[in-house]
Amino acid sequence: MQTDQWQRVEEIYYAALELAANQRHAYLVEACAGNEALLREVESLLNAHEDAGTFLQAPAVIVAAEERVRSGEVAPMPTSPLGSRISHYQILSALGAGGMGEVYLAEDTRLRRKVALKLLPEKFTQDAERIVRFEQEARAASALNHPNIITIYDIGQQNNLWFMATEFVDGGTLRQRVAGNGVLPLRDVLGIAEQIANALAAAHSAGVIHRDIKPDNVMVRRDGYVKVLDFGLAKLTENQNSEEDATLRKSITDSGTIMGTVSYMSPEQARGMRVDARSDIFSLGVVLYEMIAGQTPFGGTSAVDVIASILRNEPLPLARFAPDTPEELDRIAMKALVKDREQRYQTIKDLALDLKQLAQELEFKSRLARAGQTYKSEERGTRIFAAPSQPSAPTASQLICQQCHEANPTTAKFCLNCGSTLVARCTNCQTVLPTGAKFCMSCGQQVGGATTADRNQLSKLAAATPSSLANKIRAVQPTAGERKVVTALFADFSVFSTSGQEIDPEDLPAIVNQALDRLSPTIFHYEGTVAQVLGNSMLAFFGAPLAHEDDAVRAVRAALEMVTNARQLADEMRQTQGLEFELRIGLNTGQIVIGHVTSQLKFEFTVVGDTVNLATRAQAAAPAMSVMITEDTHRLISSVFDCSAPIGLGVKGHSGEVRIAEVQQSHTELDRVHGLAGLQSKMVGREVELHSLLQLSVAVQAGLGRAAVIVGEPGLGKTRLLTEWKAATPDASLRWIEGHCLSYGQSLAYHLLQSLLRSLLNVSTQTDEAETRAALFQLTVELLGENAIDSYPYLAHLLSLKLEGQALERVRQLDPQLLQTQYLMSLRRMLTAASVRQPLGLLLEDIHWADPSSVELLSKLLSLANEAPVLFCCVTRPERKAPGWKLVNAARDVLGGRLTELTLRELTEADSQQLVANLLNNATLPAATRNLIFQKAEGNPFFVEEIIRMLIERGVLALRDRQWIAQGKITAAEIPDNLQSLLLARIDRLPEDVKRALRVASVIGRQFSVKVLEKVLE
Amino acid sequence: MDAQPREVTLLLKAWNDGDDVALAQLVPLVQAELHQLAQNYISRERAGHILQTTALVNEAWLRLIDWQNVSWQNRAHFYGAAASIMRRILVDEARHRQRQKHGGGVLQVSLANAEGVSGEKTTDLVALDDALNSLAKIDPRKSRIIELRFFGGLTVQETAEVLKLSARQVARDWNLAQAWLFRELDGGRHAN
Repeated sequence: MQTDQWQRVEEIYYAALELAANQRHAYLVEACAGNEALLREVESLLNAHEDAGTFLQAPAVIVAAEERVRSGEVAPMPTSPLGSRISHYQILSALGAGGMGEVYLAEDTRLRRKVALKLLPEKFTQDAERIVRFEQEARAASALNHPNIITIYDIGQQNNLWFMATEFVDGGTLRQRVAGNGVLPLRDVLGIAEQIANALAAAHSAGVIHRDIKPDNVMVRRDGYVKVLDFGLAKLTENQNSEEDATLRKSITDSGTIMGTVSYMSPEQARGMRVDARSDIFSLGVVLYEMIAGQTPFGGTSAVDVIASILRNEPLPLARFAPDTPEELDRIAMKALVKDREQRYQTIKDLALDLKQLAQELEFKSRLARAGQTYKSEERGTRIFAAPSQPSAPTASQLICQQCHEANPTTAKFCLNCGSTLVARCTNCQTVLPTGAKFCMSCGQQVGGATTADRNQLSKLAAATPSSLANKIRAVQPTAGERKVVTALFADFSVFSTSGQEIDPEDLPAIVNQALDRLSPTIFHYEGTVAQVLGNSMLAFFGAPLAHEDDAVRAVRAALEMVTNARQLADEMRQTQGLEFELRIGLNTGQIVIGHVTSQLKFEFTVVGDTVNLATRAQAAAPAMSVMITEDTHRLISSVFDCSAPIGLGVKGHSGEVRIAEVQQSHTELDRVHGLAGLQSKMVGREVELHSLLQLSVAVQAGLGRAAVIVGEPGLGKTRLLTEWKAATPDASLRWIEGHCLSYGQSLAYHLLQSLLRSLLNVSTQTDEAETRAALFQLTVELLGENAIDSYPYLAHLLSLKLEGQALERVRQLDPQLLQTQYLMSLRRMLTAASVRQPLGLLLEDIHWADPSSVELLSKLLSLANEAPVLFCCVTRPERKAPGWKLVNAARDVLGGRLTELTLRELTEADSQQLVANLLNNATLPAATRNLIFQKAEGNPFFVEEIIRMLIERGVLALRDRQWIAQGKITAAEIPDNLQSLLLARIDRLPEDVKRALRVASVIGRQFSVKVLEKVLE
Repeated sequence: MDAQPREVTLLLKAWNDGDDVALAQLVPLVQAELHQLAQNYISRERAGHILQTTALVNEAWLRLIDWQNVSWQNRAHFYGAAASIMRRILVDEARHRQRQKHGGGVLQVSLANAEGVSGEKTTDLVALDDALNSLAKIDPRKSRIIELRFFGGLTVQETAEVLKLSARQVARDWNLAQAWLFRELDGGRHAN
């Protein structure tokens, strides 16, 4: 066909198409002007058009796909799933089979993690009603978030094959444990039973009954952790009321797996009655019994026999099988196995509690037995417990036994603990005092109190405070009554003559003077303060009134340096005066309440708890020329100093023993604990979300418009997710344009759009007006060419730039509504043009704070994603009443399938664990610490990080040999209850000067200029 | 089973630059993806999903090509190359099947519309290929549009971008080309 004739065909064809069918022929006759061939050609094409229908509408690959299916090249799912893929799970190997279907080890090909994939037998899934129940139960069970309950990742179906993907547990079933090891150790029995009970408690309180507790449904991980499987799945094997008898009869006649289940049935289950949570209690009782006895309580050779036994027989006492079973354990098992559920344990929590208490009791007894042995080994003479060569003066208001270090009341004659004779000496003149003396019979000094000489010494020492330190202390001006964490340094020196003669009391003050003068500068050097002088002892605080982030380290450094100085002093005294001089230092960290600080830098303080007492106790246990620290101090300094192995020290009024250790040497030059600021983890638990987002960016790169809405509470990692997303998207492939909202910005019209437009122009709010205008002009001309004038004035107006001449004229007469339309059209043109150069990613952050006018306009702009490679991403808190939420609704309406909605949820327990492990380099934390972190953080990654940061700052976590270790106990009360208190607590622990700056800044306002702050602080 | 996106991207580049050896390596990779697509297609259909076939094909291309390493400017080029390779593979496959059916009886491939509108029309990919070649002689642009849309699975908008045409022009061309091809393939029933 000739090209020119084809052109005629086209022209007439299109023109005819515009006409109604009955007018076409007349038109063709006229247009073809007697050219019959032309007329036939066009007419046949028009007819073909009418008949073509969906011809070529389905893409060729779909045609090919259908052909492949028809020819059998693409088969439905193979019968054996091994090696095949179900949904996005690649099946690797078989794990086992149960009444509830076959279980396979599979890999989630999206997240690249191992899962256990359970394929439900078809007989359970043919019935639509059962499927509904299965889905309901799976949903309920997947909502159970408990470390002892297996996590359900996913349920779904492919080709009518229903599957459930769960956490893969590396370990065996309890069935295997029971069968393999015969009888389990008592400790394991209690541990496993308690963990099952905890899992059930969590389920019961969520209204989920397990219905099929048996050893096959309990996984025991290699580390002893228990995971309970298959919550509620047993419902699938049951039928509705009318059929229950039939089901039961069927169960009885079936062998094998069903038989396994029958042994753990509660009497009410066996009778086919409605079951409640107490049925699980009975089943757990059977499991508990079996773990101890090695066999189930109700036996029989057939299922019918077993059921008869469950209904009629009383179980044999456990002692029959395991003679050393504690009576209490027998009682617990029997109470769980009571046939009448009204007489059974009523809640699983009661059972869990009994198990826990029994476990603790047994643990305590075994510890007691071990402690006896330890005590003997210590008796063989660790030097720490050896009595000092010369008795030191008792310095506190209590008498401390020189033999066992028990603190005794001042009236005691013999030690409360070991019966040794107690010797009291006057703090002033060293005279041996009779027990019960309140004042020294020789010099009149109050027993346990400060003397006039002491007070003078203190004033003298305070006055000797270097002026730089004095100024800092005065600058802090601590509020009277403020609680402070301090490290208390208690130094005690003893002086005696080498010849064994008594020292002349007249000479003593001079000697004390000399010693204090030599030792106290070190305290000031490390910015500690002397709080009290008592005879030949001295109390110093590090952390009050002036606090540092490393006060404990400072205190230890000071103590070690004081010992070095004391050795020199001792040498001098030995040579010049024939005197022996010994120094012992004890340190403890705790709270004090600080009172008024005088201009002479003396201050009052009230000790909270044992803060000072324990320092004196540690001192009393210290060998000459050594530094002993308590565990509270130890955990703050362990990353910096080597210490001896801690030993126990019984202290009255203290629950448990206080552990103390001798500081040996500093092993690092660094005073700072590593990683305090640098805790980092890769993103955890957001793999699915990141994957979805990356798919979006790939789609946009491929030219398809997309949108995402990311919803999450504060702290769940919205910003982190965006950061990771941006980082994972190659720079050149997408141009990111970001609009941010301000928390106080709802009343600022168009502030979100302005922010977005500035980002498009690559300018900031700080950029001056001329420069901004130049950038806008250049970009509009670049993108829109000669049509720039249709957009430039409006965009300039949107940015509140001054306009002149023609541009001003265009904007001037428009009312706000028309202006908004122009803003919209201008932005649309700009973005469309920009997206042709490079796909765009428009990030709209914190839109819960967005201003209504921006939201309205952006809602209309969203349809851009239907036409151009533009990716909208709205990030918001779940605040449905905020104006910004309208944008979310608009995206749903306008974008349909192009929109991906992501809701960030709290991290799962496993993900929280992973986060903690990442942050702390896989440190092993005690269960209590771990649980507390999870409990308080509630799956909020920001909280997890902050709590860990706090634990480190508190010294509960410390770095030793590049490994994080947990030390000491934390109590629930120490963890702030929400982010607010968490932040407040963080502020509270800032160095004083920062804290003060912060206080002042907060008065200035939410935002402040550094200059103003500096002025005020001066 | 997944083709290696990076590899496919590189091979497609090489083939597009005239390297015929690349084609031999490319074919099995694309076929594997087609197989996966067919599998997805059948399983979704069985699951009773309403199929957006364009979306399905888009997904296939998303998987097949490492878009992150395709510069934005080359994107159109890639779609063009992708559509060509798909045409080649699918037509070869159809030709192979016809040959296997000894007498070479024309295999009628159902074009039942996957979006739910059941169509009784059938076509033959081999015949379509021939018809497209004929169309190319009188109107290469329309032939290319059919190739991009039918074999490449592109939307009107995307086709417009690849060919630097307006969407309206693409829609018009598609309309006439569809009628023309339908007439050619319908065995002349509508001729005259």
